[in-house]
Amino acid sequence: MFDLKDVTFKSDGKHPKTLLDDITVSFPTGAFSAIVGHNGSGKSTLLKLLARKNKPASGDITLDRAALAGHGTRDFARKVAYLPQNPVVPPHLSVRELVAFGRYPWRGAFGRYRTEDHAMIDRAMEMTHVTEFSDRLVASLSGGERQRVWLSMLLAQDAPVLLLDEPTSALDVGHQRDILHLIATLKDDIGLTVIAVLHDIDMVGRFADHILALRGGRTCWQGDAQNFMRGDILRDIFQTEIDVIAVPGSTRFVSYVA
Amino acid sequence: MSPTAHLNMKRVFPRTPTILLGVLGLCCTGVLIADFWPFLQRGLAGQVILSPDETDFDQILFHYSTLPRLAMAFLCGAGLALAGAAIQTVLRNPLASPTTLGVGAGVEFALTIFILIAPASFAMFQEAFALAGGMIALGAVYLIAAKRGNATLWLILAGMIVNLLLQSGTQVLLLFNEQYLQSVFMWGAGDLAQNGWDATLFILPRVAIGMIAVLALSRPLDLLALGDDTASSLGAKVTILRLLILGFAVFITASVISAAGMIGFVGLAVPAALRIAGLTRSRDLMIYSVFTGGFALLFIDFMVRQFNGLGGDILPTGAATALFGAPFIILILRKARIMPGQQSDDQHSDQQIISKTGLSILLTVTLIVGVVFSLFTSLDGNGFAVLGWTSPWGDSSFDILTGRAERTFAAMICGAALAVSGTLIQRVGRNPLASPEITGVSSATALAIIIALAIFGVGQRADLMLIGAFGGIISLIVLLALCRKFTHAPHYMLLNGLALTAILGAIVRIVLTRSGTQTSMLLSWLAGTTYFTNMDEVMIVAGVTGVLLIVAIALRRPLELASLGTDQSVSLGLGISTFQFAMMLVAAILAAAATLLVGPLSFVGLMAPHLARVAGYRLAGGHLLGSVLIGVNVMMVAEWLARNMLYPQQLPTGLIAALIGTSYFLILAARKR
Repeated sequence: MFDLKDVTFKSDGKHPKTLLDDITVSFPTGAFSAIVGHNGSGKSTLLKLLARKNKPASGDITLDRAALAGHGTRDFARKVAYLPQNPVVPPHLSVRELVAFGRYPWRGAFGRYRTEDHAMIDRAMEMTHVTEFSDRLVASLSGGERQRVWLSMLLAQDAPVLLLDEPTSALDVGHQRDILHLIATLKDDIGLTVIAVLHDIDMVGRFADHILALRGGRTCWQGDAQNFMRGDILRDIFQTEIDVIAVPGSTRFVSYVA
Repeated sequence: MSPTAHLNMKRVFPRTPTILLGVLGLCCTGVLIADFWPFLQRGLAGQVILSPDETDFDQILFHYSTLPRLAMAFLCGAGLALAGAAIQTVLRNPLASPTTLGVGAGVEFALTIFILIAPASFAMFQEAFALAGGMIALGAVYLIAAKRGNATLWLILAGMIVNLLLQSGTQVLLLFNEQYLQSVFMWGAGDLAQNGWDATLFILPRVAIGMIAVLALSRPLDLLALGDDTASSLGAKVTILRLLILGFAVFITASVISAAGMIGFVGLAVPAALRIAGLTRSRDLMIYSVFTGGFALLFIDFMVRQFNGLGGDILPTGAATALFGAPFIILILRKARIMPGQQSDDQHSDQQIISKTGLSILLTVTLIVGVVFSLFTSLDGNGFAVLGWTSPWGDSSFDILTGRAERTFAAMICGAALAVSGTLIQRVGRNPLASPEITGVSSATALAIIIALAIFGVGQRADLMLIGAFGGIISLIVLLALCRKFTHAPHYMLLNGLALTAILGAIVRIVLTRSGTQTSMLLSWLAGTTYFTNMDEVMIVAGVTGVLLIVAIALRRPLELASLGTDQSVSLGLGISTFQFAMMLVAAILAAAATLLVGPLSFVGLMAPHLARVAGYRLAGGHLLGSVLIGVNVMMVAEWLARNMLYPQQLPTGLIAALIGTSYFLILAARKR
């Protein structure tokens, strides 16, 4: 889906800092890719490059083998849905009105919302369990509830690619599991491609198919979940005393800090 | 990384202020040498200072005009800069100053009232009166902002509102007393021209007393910088201290303004610049402010004198200072990176979602009843007089009716145009405090119109309207360019407005001191009268407003989307920058059209959208309609009041609307925490 070749990114200003250096990676179609790394390793920056919020200093990024910059704004919005880390919370919109904006790329400024649009909105709200908040103001919800509403909007957008910047950072463990489980299921059912920045190593090990680890703006490791959950690799990525133990009665591993 | 570097930089005693002061000092030495040169050549310098040769015209002129002017410039500059430094430190707000917080306007207003009304025997109370005016203005500003934890944004906004209101109040007073116009204006524009030592001897002891007092209090002032809680736990009587220092600062300001008129921006720019240059301790800051401010005004005044030459003062110093100073604050802000106070995003989170149909119908009914009432009823000297179709006046009643209709509709259309303009700016700028008046669009429009009218003699109202719209659009583009890189755009919006309003004020004063014939028309237009409108213009503006309102409502979906912020709007497929630009353009055209009809003053563009939002019109379409209804209603009421309140005197509609707007904000400030 997304292919990056020798991508670098520099910050603005008089003394540009290289935030991403020489990233070459190919995010597989129809898979759940996770981007991990320590704070300031360039995870969000990379995701913003994919979402076209940042422009690379050099290198090529392609989406469906076409240059990223070549897509029109509406066209791109129909293909790629992006959830930033701290989306602006509109003070006056109700949950349903916000989720309905997911249909904007398809209907534009003047197009009438048809029955299938409303069905899509309802389904997205049901999947993320926000139907009960439907008529409440987004601003009145808690952080975790808001996060589910945003996700709901992204699902209503009906794009084949989801870019999620820490989509579960404000969720309790139950909702984290629910949301990631939902994303994983959607990926299997309708073939979504998901690229997410995630912090929780165990959730990554449980749900991700493909993992890209960054350290100091460089690719530090990439591979699948099986190989990711290994003490030496985690120690290398996060530079801290961390190890894994086997889950009894399973082939999986979970992490713990020493 | 960078914060540490920043801290390290501040530890060493900064050299920049010293260099700045040195350069200014050298400049002023140059000024002195230039002024003294003819006498130095002849070795008469000492003589001309102490006892001039009464037979030599040059010596007399120098001794009684140039020399006191130099002294005055230094004293005024020093006093204002010190007052500014003190106010900034006390309020812990780098944008506070005598001018931005309305002290100057308050003193000016009080003095104007005093000059016009008070009998000559009261002259001894003039100073107390000026002082009270300044304190009351500062108090009002402080009260509005204090409820919001003195957030910089609110302090500046409140200052702006109080400033505009008092200035227009002064202008209206002058309107009714045209015989004093020229002289009061000359004084109001900050005139340093002297014809003796009286004024200098008047302010010297006052400024000196004020300075000594403020400087003596500089150590406790440092304590205040730590915050109220820390300061009081260290044993400082915070409230008394604060009042004392503010009182002395206002005293200095009032003395300077009484003697020399409004001299803006020295009090803001000098201490702010010094602080950015690295002076943080209040005693250093104040001592440097005294000298830097004095030298700066001395130098500016010298430059101004070179322009003035023979034909009297073309460019009053105070107005010129504002011209120099206004762009400077934008620069300061870009350097200083002052973060605004806590912007509460969740302000309306407890708001209920309710249908606004009832309210809309009520507003419409009020509107219709109001229009009929306003057209047929008026107050004359004896009370209510109803104008009927079959009245004893016969045919003339129809003329009266058309005349009234013209003005009422003009006001209402302006209300609608400003409401739409304000709603668009608030929504697209995602800033509930933005409005055509606050962001300077109205000021820029007025500025363009005044320059075209007074300097280039453009007389056609249609041309003026185009020129005005052009001015408004340029200011918006400048604004957008300034705000582009900053997430905390509200600040820059306000500052743009502040700077443009200040420039407008300066130009207006300059123009008004010059042009005799058009002065009173310009004045009343600036205060927002509908007196000069005619039906054709009203129709044109109505057409433009109608079309643009429909366009805006048709675009309500992307307008709503814009409230999600740039990133999200683009993610959802809206080309936001083009859209924002187009909407701002629409807003500027509307503001310009309205400004041409009723002048730049009314706060409808700020108030109507705000009120509509508070009343519960949430979504873009409803918000537009709601604020139009509110705006039209407010302007209708304002226009009726303006026509009838002081019958047969006519007050400017814009001023009444501004009064309503200011009271609204005062109530809002008093009620909401």
